[in-house]
Amino acid sequence: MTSSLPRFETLSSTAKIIEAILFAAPSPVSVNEMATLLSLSPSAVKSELEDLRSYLLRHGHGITVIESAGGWRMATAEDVSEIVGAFRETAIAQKIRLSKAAVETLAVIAYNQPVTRSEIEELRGVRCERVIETLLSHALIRIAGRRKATGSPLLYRTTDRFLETFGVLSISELPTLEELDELAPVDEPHFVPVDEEERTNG
Amino acid sequence: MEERLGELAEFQAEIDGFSGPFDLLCWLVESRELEAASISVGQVVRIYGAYLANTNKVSVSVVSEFLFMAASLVLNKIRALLPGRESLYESEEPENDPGEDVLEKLSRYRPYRSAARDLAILKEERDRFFFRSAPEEEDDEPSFDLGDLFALCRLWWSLRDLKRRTKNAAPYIFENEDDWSGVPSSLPEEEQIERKISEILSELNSDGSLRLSFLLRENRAMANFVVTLLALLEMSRMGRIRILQEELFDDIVITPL
Repeated sequence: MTSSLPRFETLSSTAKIIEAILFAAPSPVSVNEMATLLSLSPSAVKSELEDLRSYLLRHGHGITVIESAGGWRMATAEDVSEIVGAFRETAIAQKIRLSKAAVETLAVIAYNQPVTRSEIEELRGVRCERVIETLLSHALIRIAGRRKATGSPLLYRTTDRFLETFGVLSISELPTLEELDELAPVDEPHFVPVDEEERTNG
Repeated sequence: MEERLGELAEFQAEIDGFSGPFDLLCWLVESRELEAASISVGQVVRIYGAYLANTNKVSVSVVSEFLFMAASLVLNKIRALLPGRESLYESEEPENDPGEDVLEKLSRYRPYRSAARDLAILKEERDRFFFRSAPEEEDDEPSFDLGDLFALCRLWWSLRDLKRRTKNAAPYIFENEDDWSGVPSSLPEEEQIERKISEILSELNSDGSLRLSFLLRENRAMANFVVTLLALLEMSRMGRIRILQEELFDDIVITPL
């Protein structure tokens, strides 16, 4: 009988402390900060964090630890997101709703920063004034000075909040434009006559 | 044609379905196997018209813009089809080919379209995590690097707060508010400032150190505020007082030297 009981698994004392720190921390905690506090090497802290994450997952916890741009933080487990999102105003308060145009503008800024509005508009083929305002108000982008050119236009950059919102650790983590171009479907010229009536009526 | 696309863009931005005209064009190219350079004007107008009709948000101005855009597209096309022009362009500026231009713009745009798609997926994934508390998001102020514009606003708000709090005692008075004809009231005269300086000095002599809010306690009129500030700056320049603000937006402490 006793042999069928699962072996009692506990966290290492360091992982336990890290768990407590992340629980108490109001904002993401960097690996370096924890390393200094615990007098450990950053790599040791990192492996403890990974242990903690897999421990929480293995034991079916409702919470997990995730890495974000500013460091590590405690979060709800992925598989309970639907119900947690429906709980009070959690979803509304924590999540930013972005239009397709807003995300595309962010992409252009992320890859070209610092970038002016007219450069963004040139690439997107559309006016971006309002989208930029929205992104600024969500603090997803910030004004990063002015370009030394005629009219000294404002320059825009993405913020840490952008990284946080999209779960990206750094801009360099994003695939390069060349890589994206390779992945994108290429439209070889097709001279296919299109029956307009049929297609547009559909 | 690409100029007309710019106009098409004007109201495209209003609609959620496409992020912009290039998105629409890419979609047309992908889903309908069209060649970007030779997309028929009629098709674009029709598809777009049908698309607009299906969204219930179209205003009169949008419709008028659409009609204008459609007319311009047709006109553009007619011009392009007219004989004689082609040979003219051929010999002079082949790079002016609008088809080529659109193709070039589309190929420059395409990676961003993919990037946006990737980002949307990343966000969707990220949105499945919720955080216990996120105070840094709560008081996350929009970050502007433009001088201290935001700080200035904060100062203004705090002054307004102060005004509200001291409403019963002494509200700020904006002189001549009723008969303000756009002419600012005269600049404070030196005499006024000198008088204020001696006033402050006598206060300092009796009290030791003072707070700006205390100096403004009785007369919160804007002119008095300006005169007081100028007087304090002058006194500081003369080395008679030290002006200290311990914290940002805190009250200002004046101590005699």
